Amino acid sequence: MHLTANVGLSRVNLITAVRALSPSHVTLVINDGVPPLDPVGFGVLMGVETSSITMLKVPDPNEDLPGCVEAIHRHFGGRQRGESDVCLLSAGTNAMSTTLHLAFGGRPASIHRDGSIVLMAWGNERERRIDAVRLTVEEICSAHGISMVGDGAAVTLVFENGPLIPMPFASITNQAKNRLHIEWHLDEAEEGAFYHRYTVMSAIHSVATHCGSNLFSHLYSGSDSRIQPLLDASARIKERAA
Amino acid sequence: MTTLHLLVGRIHTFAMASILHAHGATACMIHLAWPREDLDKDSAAALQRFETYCSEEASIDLTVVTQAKGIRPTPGDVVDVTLGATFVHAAFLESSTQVTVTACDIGLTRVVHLNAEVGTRTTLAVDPLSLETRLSLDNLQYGVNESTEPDLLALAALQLLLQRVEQPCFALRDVNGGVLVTLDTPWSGRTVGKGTLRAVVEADGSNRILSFPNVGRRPPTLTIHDPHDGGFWLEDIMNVLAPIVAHSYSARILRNLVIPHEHLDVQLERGLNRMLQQRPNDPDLRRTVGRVLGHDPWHRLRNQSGNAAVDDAMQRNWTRNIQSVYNTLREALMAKGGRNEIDLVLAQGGSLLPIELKDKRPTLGDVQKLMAVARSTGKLRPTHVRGWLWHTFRPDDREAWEQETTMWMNMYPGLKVEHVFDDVLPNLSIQALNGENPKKARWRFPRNAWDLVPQKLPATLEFPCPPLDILRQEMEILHLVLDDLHRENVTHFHQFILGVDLLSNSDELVLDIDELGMRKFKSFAMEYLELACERAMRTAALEGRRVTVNVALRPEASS
Repeated sequence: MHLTANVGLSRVNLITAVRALSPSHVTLVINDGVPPLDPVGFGVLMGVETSSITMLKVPDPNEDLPGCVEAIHRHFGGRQRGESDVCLLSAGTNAMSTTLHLAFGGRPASIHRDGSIVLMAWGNERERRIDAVRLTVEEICSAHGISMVGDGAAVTLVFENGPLIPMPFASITNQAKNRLHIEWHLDEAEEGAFYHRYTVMSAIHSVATHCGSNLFSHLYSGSDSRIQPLLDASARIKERAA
Repeated sequence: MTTLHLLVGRIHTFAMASILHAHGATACMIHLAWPREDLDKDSAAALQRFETYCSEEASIDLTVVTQAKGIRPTPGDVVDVTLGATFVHAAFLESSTQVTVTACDIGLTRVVHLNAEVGTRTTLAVDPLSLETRLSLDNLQYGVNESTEPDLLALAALQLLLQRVEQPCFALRDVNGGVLVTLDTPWSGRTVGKGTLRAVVEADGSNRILSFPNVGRRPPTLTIHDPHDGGFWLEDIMNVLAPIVAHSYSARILRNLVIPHEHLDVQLERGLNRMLQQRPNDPDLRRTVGRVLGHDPWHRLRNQSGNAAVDDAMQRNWTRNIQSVYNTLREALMAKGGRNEIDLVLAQGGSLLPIELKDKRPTLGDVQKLMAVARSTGKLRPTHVRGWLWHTFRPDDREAWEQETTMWMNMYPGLKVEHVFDDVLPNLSIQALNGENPKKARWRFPRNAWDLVPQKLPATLEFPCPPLDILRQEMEILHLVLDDLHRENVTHFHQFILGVDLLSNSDELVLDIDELGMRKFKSFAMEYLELACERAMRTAALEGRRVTVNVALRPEASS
């Protein structure tokens, strides 16, 4: 089976889909608008040999949609697909995922809201659902190029070639559906509340910038009324160009 | 006839119309993600507007179906996936060899063919739909600000004002029968003799129109709303700045864009309540509403626990006349009563870029409001929602402020936070406005003091058939007092007066003043107030009454 997929900011869906479907070859289409991806480390997480991964770099569809479409067709054009090949549609813009499917063919697959992988009805095949495996916090961090130092109520996230994000008031767990659940332990009464709020804002924005906002859910149970708007705002951050 | 199929998750009328426009479609089938009867009220209304637009303006044969019914395009049709959902695409793509699959670029003006077989990948870009179409389709209300030409001297005046942003605005002092308006700024140690006529201020309601007769061939004017303590609204500065911004960005400027409420009456009522609450210092509003209503609009909010019969009569009076108030102030109330509003919008074609203005410290709440509006006015993709926050805030801790604003901009991609005078003004292309060197123009601008000479007194109120004599009398006395204060050049004190009460005690005239007002009057103008009340009572033939000043809580507008 050959699986193709666009790569967005959040990479968890891609890993769970590949683990669930076990393709023999994976083609990843990554555009200039998202952070780069290390095929070696990512291959390990997906459980696929590096030699079985093909990376295709295309222009950012928000900047150059015709160029992006052209690049995808140029790469896949004219090749015959096997009946078992799968095209994962759940990442990238509508135009990009549609183009990928038009160029590559294969059975369309997507990720349901409950996290399961959906192989859609196609030809004579009926719809099929596969439960996603649950990833560890370390695996999710690793997929996004993050190392986590410390545990309990004080962690530091270290990004590859990027910022070091101290989260002194946070503990991180893996919720259901492979979302990272960050619980903030910060109280207004503490001294240096402004600095603490700043730290929270900084951490939220950094992780969202690198990994997309859908990967995280934030919980705050303290009494600082200014924290909650920050967390609400973080939930609104959508994918953005790097 | 080729049919264009659009897969629609949420109803975004302008995006849908733009896609149709880019395709030059004559027939369109909308595939709704949910049955029509399950759409929320806003979406249903938006779809209705879209259908009206297609039938009446664009002459497009439109069919709306629910995608669950599985209606497939016929060979030769076009499927545009710009707005759709991937699950539905997949079903459509089964027949993709027979249909043309397209998507529009980010500007929604160019169609890109996604099929492999198509020779030409891109169609020619079309002009975007007009601004009027945009506003009509998205049901947005706005005030246009296109009357003023860019004025270099006005800009110079503006730059003069900017230096007082950190300071109290005008300092007012009596000088030779006039009032000296000083600019409390360090002008390189230079002073100019007091009383020198440099500029004329015409008081027009709560607005003050400053004109500078001795400057150049074309005297500049600035209209400054003077809300309290000689301050000014940043929005009024924008009256001067807006044409220059428009000129600089080759755009049109809309003021006070309003996202409307779904019910008209609710919007009007919210608008009136907000105006009464937010602008108690505006005598024009008080007079206008009072004239139509027959009594002081604040009275109803203030005097609920008074005489039951009068309360009842007043309530009936309110019910009877409120529609007339709505009709009289309709435009202003519609502008105030919307779900959301934004101060300034830069319109380029159908694209609307909201700009929020703050003269206090901007907060995350302001940013959230701005970006919420930006999502309403933004075209399509959340990644490309843009909004600008312009402010005149000077932080004590510059580094912390910069960190905070950087954080906001990172949290909301597309947000730009800029200081009006430090960041916005220097980047506007004003050099080419009239060929004059802007630096030179600024230097010949009067820099030290302006004399304020009130030239226009407020018009006397007329009362058409008041329903309640006593309320009319209260209103009359109130305005006599206000007029008197105006004549004494303490017009700005009127904002503290909540109302006149003749009902509570037949021997007294009770003047309700809020707490801040009491302090101010005691410090500066109590003698003016007492004199004004006595004169008003003489005029109204109520000399027997004793004047009592009562400190009252400023009433909240009813919800």
